[in-house]
Amino acid sequence: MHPLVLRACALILLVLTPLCSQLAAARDLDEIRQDGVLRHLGIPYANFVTGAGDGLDVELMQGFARHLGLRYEFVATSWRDVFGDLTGVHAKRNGADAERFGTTPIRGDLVANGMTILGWRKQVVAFSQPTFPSGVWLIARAESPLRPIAPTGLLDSDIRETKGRLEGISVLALASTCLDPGLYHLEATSAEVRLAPKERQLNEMIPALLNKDADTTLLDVPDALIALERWPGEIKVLGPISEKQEMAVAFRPESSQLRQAFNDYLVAIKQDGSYRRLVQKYYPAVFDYFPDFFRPDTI
Amino acid sequence: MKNARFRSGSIAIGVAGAALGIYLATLIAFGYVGQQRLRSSLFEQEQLSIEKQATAVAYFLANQRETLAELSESRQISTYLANRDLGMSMRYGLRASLMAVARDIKRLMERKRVHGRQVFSSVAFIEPDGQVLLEIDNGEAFEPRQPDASQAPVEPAALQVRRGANGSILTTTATISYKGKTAGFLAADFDASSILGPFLADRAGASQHRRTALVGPSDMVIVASDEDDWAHWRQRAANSDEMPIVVPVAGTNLSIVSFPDMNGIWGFLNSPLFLAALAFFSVPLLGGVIYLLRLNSHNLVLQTRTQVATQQRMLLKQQNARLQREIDKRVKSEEQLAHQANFDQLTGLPNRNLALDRLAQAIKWAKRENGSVLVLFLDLDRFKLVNDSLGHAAGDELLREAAQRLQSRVRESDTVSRLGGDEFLIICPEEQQQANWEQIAQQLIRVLAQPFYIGDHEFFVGASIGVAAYPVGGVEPHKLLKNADIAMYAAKEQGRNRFCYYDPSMDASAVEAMRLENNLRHAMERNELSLVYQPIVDLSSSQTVAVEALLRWHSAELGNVPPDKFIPVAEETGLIHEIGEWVLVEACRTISAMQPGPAFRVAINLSSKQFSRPARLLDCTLYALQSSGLMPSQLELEITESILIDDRPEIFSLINQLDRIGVRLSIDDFGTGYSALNYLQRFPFDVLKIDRTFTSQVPDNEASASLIRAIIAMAHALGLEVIAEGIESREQAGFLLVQHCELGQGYLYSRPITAEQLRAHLAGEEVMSA
Repeated sequence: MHPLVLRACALILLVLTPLCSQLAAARDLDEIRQDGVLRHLGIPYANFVTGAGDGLDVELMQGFARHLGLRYEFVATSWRDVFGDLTGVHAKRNGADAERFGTTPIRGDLVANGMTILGWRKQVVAFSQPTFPSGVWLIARAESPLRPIAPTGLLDSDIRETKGRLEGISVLALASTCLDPGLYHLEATSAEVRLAPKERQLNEMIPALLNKDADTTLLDVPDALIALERWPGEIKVLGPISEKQEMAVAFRPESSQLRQAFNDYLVAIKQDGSYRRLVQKYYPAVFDYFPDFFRPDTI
Repeated sequence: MKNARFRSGSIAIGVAGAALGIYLATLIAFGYVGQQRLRSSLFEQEQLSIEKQATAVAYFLANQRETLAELSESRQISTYLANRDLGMSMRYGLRASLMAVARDIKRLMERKRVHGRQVFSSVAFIEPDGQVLLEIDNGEAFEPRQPDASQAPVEPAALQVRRGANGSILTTTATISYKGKTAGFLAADFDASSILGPFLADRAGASQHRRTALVGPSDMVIVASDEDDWAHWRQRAANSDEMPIVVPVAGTNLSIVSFPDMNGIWGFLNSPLFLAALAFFSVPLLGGVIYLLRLNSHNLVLQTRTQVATQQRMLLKQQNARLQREIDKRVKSEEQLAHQANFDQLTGLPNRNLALDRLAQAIKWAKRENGSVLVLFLDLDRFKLVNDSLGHAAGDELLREAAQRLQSRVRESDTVSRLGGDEFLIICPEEQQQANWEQIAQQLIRVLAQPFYIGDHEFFVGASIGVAAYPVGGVEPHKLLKNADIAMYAAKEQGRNRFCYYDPSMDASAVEAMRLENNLRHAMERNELSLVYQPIVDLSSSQTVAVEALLRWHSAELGNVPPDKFIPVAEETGLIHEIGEWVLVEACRTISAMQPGPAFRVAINLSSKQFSRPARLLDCTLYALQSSGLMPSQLELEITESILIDDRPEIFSLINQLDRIGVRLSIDDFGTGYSALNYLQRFPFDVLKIDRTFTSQVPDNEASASLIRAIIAMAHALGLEVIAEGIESREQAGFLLVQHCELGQGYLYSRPITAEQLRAHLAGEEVMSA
C-alpha cells in the first residue's frame, strides 16, 4: 500500500476516533437499557473472574444486570486493553499519572475483575464504591532462604522490613496491573524486578514463581489467599509490599448513572447479606484478614 | 363299713388336699425358680442392654476420636503447619491457613451430628505448649477453654472430663503430627448430657426403671439417666444386696453403671408379691381341707345312717316280698295239698275223704231237716279189660271220660266223687222218692253204657250201682257207704249194668268176699302190699344164713288182711300172678341192696297158680335177678307139693330151667301133703322144709319126732338141705340139731321183720361174730 494512502487512513482514524469516543461516552444507563445488554469487561484473575464462566465479579455483574433488567454479556479483555475497551482510549501508568494513547472501540460498559483502585486509574475511569479489600504481598517459594518478616503491628514498618529483604532478590511483577512494581517503588530497592510478559495473567504469577522465573513475586492479597490454598507448603508470604488497597468496579467517567445505579445496588446487596454470601463463596478467608471491611455495619 | 367309708372319704380328701398342697408347693417352687430365672435372664438382658449402650458409647467416642484424628491429618492443618514451619506470620498468610483449618473444623462440626444436634460444642486447635490457637464453637453456650498450659492434653487417647456450668463436658483429643513431631492437638468438647445422655436413655433393656450413669475416673458421674436421684439410688443399692451392672466403655476410662429396678419388670402374675400370696393361700387351703375333713366326717355319719336305714328298708322290703312269695307259695301249696287231699288228681272229682265229709254234712243236714240222703256206689264193669289191654293211660282217659259223663247227669247240689280205681260215689241230698233215685241210677247206667272211644278203639264198659239212703241204709257215713257198696256187689251179682238198692237182708259174707277181692285188686296200685323177712339160721351157729320173704297186706278199707285170707282170693282172681311177680322183684331188690354174703339166700314162696303161666314166671324170675343184681344161687324158690301133683311137663320144664340158671329150689311144707318121695327124686330140689306142724310137736311127740328124723334122714339121703319151720323153743332147736337138721326158722330166732329191721339184725350178727 502506498505510504500516502496509509497516512490518509491514519488521519481519518484520528478524526473519527473522538467522534466514536463521544458516541461511546453517550452510552450510559439509558442507552444500555435501550440496548438491553449490560456488557461486562473482565480479565480472568484469581477468583474474581475465574475464566470458567464464574467468579465473584462475574456473579456480581450478573446480579447487577438482573437488577437492571438487562441481559448480561461478558466481554473478555486484557490488562493492556481494558481501559481502551471501556473508554475507547487506551491508557497506562506513567509514574503516578495516567498516559492515554490511542483509541479503540468501546466494548463494554464496566470493568469488574478485582481492579484495585489506583491513583492513575482514577484519572482514566470512575470507580464505584470499594467492593473488595486488597494489598500486595511478597511471595517466595517455600524452599527459599528468605524468611518471612515478623509482623510489627505497623504496616509501614512491615513494608519496610519486607522490602529490606529484597536486596539482590529477583521479584516477578506485572506492569499495568496492581502488581506493577512502579506502584510500590521497588526501584528504590536493590531488588531485581522481572516483569512478566504482557500476555501473562495475574493467575500465572505463582506458577511462574514455582517455575523459578524469579526468587519472589508480587501478589495481591486475594490472589495470595487462593495461592496459599492451591499450593500449600510450596510458597510462603514474606511480608507486605503495599499499603491497604481496595478494589472496585470501573466505569467510564461519563456513565455516572450506571455507576450510581451500581453503587445503589451494592449497598442493597450488602445490606441484604447477599454480597457477603457471595464473598464467602469465593474468598472465605478474606473476612479474617479484613474484618473491618466486612463488618456488618460497613457492608 | 361306716368306718371304711369315713376312712375312704377322709383319705380322698386328704389325698386331694395333699395333691393340692403338692400342686401349690410345685407352683410356688416353679414360680420361685421361674422368678429367679426371669430375674437372672432379665439381669443378663439388662447387662446386655448396658453392654450395648457401652458399645454404642464406645463406638461413638471412637468415631469422634477417629474423626478428630482424620481432621488432624487434614490438608488444611498440614498447610497451616507447613506455612508456619515456613515462618509465615499470622498477619501475612498464616492466618489464611489457620482460617482454612477453622473452616474445616466448622464444616466438620456442622457435619457431625447425633440425636439431631451437633456433636461437638467446640473444637480447639491447641499448640503443643497448651496455647489455644484456634477454637471453634457451635454457638450454643460456648465455654471457651482457658489458654493456659494446664489445658494441654497430656494423654491424647484418654477422654478428659470437666465440669461445666450445665453439666459435664467431655473432651476428646487427637494429636497433630508434623514431620514426625507433635505439632499440636485437636481437642473437641461435647456436652455429655445432651450427646451421651440419649445413649443412656435407650430403653431397650427389660428394666423400665433402671438408673444408669456414665461414670468417669474417680467415680465421677458424667451423665445419669436420672441425675437428681442418682445419688439416692446409689446409696440405696449400697445398702442392699442389689448389685450394679458395671460395663466399661471400651477404649476409654469410662464405665456405664446401672442399678436396674427389677421390681418394675414384675407383672401381677409373675411378681414376688403374687408368689407370696400364692404361698399364703396354702394356709386357708389347709384350713379348707381340715374343714372338709370335718365336714366329711359329719356328712359321712349322716350318709351312713341314711344308707343303713335305706338298706334296712330295702332288706325289709325284700324280706317282705320273699315272705309274701313264701306265703303265696305256701297258700298255693296248701291249696294244692288241700286239693290233692280232697280231690282226685286224675278226674278232678272229690276223692274219698271229701266225699265222706260231704256225706257227713249231708247226713247232718238230713238229721236236722229230717230229710234224706241218697248214696249211689258205682263201679265200672269192664274197666279192667281196658286197663289190661290198652294200658294205664287208656284206663285213665276212660276214667276221666266216665267222670265227665257222671257229672253231666247230676244236679249241682249232688256230689260225684271218685273213691279209687273204677269206683265212683254219687251223693244226692234231699232225695226221698224212690222213683227219683231209680231215675238217677238209670240215667247214670245209661250214660255209662254209651261206648267210650279211646284212640281208635271203641269200648262198652257199663256200670253197676249200689244205692243206699239215709236213714234207711245207715245213719253213719261209713255205714251208708258200706251198705251202698254191698248193694253194688249185689247188683254185680245180679248181672252187670244194673243197680240195686240196699236191703239189710243181703248176704254179708258173700259181699265181704267180694269186697276183699275188690280191695285186693287195688292193693298194688295203692301200695298196700309189703314184704317182711323171717331169718333162717344155721342151727349149729344160730347165724342167719337166709331169710324167707313173707307177703303182708294192709288194706286202707279192710285193715291188715292175713295172707291165708287174701292169697286164696288172689289165686282165685288171678291176681296172684301180679302179686307173685311183685314179691319176686321186690324181695330180690331188697336183699341185693343189703349186700349180704354170696351164701346168703332169700326164700320166696311160689303159688301153685303161678305155675299156670310158667313162661311168665321164668321171665319174671330172670328179670328180678337181672334188675336187682342178685346171684341166682342167692334166690330160693319154695314150691308146695300141690304143684307137682298135676305132673305137667311145662312145670317140669320150668323147674329144670330154674335149676339150670342156678336158682335154688325148696320143697315147702313137706310132710303135710302127699309127701311123695318120687317128687324129690324127679325134681332138682336143693332144700326141704319141714312144716311147722311137725316142729311144734317135738320133742315131746314121739311120732312127730320120728317123722322128723325120717324126713331129715331122707333129705340127707337125697342130698337136700333141711330147714325146720316154726321153731319156737330151745328144745325144738336142740332136737333138730341133734337130728342134724342144718337150718331152722321160727320165733325162737326171729319173728318176720321189715327190711330195715333185717338190715339191723344182720349188722348186729356181724358185730357179734366179729
